[in-house]
Amino acid sequence: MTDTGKLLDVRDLCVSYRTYEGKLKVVDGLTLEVRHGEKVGLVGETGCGKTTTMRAILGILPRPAGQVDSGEIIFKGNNVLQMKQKEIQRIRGVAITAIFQNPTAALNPVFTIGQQLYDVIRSQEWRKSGKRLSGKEVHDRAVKALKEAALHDPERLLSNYPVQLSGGMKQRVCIALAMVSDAELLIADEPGTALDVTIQDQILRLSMFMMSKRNTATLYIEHSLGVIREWMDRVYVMYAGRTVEVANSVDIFRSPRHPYTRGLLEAVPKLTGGGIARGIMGRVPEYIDPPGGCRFHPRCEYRMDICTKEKPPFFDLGDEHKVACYHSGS
Amino acid sequence: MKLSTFILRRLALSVGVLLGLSILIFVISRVVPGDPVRLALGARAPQEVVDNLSAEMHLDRSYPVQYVMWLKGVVQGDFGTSLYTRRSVSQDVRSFLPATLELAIFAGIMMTFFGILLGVLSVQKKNSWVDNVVRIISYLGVVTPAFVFAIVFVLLFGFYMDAFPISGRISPSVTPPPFITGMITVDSLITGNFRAFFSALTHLFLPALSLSMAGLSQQARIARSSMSDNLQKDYILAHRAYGIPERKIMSRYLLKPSLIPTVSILGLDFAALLSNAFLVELVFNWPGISRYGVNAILRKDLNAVAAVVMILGITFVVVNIIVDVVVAYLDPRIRMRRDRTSAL
Repeated sequence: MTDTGKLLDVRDLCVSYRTYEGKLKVVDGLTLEVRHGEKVGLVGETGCGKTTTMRAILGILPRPAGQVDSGEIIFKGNNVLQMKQKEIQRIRGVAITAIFQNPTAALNPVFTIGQQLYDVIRSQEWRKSGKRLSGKEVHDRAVKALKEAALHDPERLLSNYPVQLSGGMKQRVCIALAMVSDAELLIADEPGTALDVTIQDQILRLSMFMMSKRNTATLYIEHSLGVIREWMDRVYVMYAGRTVEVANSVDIFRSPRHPYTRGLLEAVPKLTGGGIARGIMGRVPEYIDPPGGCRFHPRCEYRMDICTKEKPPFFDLGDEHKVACYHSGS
Repeated sequence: MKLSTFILRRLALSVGVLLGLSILIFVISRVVPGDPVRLALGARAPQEVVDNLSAEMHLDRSYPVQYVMWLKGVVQGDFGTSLYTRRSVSQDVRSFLPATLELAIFAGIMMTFFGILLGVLSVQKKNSWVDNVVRIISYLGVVTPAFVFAIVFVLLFGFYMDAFPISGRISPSVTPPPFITGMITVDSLITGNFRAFFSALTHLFLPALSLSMAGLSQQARIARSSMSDNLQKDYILAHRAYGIPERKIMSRYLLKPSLIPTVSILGLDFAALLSNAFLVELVFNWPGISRYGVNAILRKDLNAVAAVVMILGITFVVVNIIVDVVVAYLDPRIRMRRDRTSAL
């Protein structure tokens, strides 16, 4: 693993939201990296800070409530957090793009698909090459993008409003919006969650196929482990704003080490029967006053004294398998 | 549904609304206690004269017959004659209505334009002093009656600063333009009389501003809150993530969805303008239909009352059609939703 292989390197990222109740430390020491052309999964239960991580990387945290407190987000050797607005705009949407969780919310309801797609194509070309595209060029690219996203009758679609499309179609449009950029990194935030299971699989296959064809690196945020197992090279497991375990997608299923990862795997119901799946007791902690030490300790059956006091470091288990746990690490 | 179909449907519906309104107005004007004819002629007029006038105005017929006769006239633009002046009510309306319409339209434009502008400024500089000033103005604007603003503005701009005229529609020294629409600003523009236009505009400014303050404040508040809500929406984050310039997001992708609630409430605000117009017309000595209408009510001048209410009702219906059409234009979901239900 050489430094040049890293496309995205997030180190000790801390993100908080200011609310009336106080400061929510939603992401607290998140570390992850994505290499060129690699497919990386980020798993964790709802509310563990996955979406916030995505927003921080893209620089689209809701303002003024959300803010990055510390850490580094290094994209291709440059720290995004220290960039000027102009430099960020050369990356955002051009070199890094995104697919959002809920396609209905991610498309502007009062503009046609065409209006939204045209604007994205135009502003990206302007950022990339400083060229202004003619109306016909923009139109042709839009049609091509929609076709690639396996949408029929793109001409008609361009004049439709989001409300006229099904959920699956909307997500395909979002994929087209993300793909017009030829970005080097795609961050996908549970793109199938808001859809029917059957459609979910189609969307996944489509996005993965397009990623592989273009050799785009992917950070795939997901709570479904099946998806991770089938498609990802490496997996980061996230709990309450921290990375707790990382391994390649074979090892994480064969020999999970962190008690939380094990709990997560056992919580998956099996179609082959064997009773109701085991869950993990308790719930994701509050972020205003999170538990000290290891954030998982209140729910952990292997809790030791040190877990309540000190934040566990990463223990290297070899073969790129690392775990942040005193119990399974040492 | 196409926008044209939408407009046609809306027009058809409003005919029903106006018919209902006409019945309501007629019934109310006839069931008020006291004999209006006796009131008009005075206590000492002989019964014979009263009966004659009643017959002349068809007040001796049964109510349904009276209604049909009245409605026939209304459809032809004839609202009957006034019990007091014995002049045609339509003539009176023709001379008083344009002044009020001019005032209300001008106030409506000011309220929409400045209201939304203040809302946008407030969101752009959220939590700064600009935002706080706008919030204070808009709270004051909502709770203060229009006539208070009228009096304060007269004192401030008219009396102490002497910047604006405080009475009438045009300076006595300026020749008014010929009567075309009756709205002096419009007529003077049509005839190219810029001196009259300028004079009329300065006369119009203070009354229109006082009248518009309440609606303006409401518009500013709604524009501010809907924009700051939408600013948190996923689609705005997505526009940013896809690299659309911030300026374009603000002026296009945020503004259009945020205008929907603001425009929707314009119809109600316009109705408030018409009902508040009376006191403002009184303060600025503005010869409008509201003053005429209130006098008619006090004197139980049946035909005049019915005419004023009917015309204000029509104005209100027309304004609401325009508002609905603009909202349908802004929000495809409204057009599409109708589409789906009509297909069922």
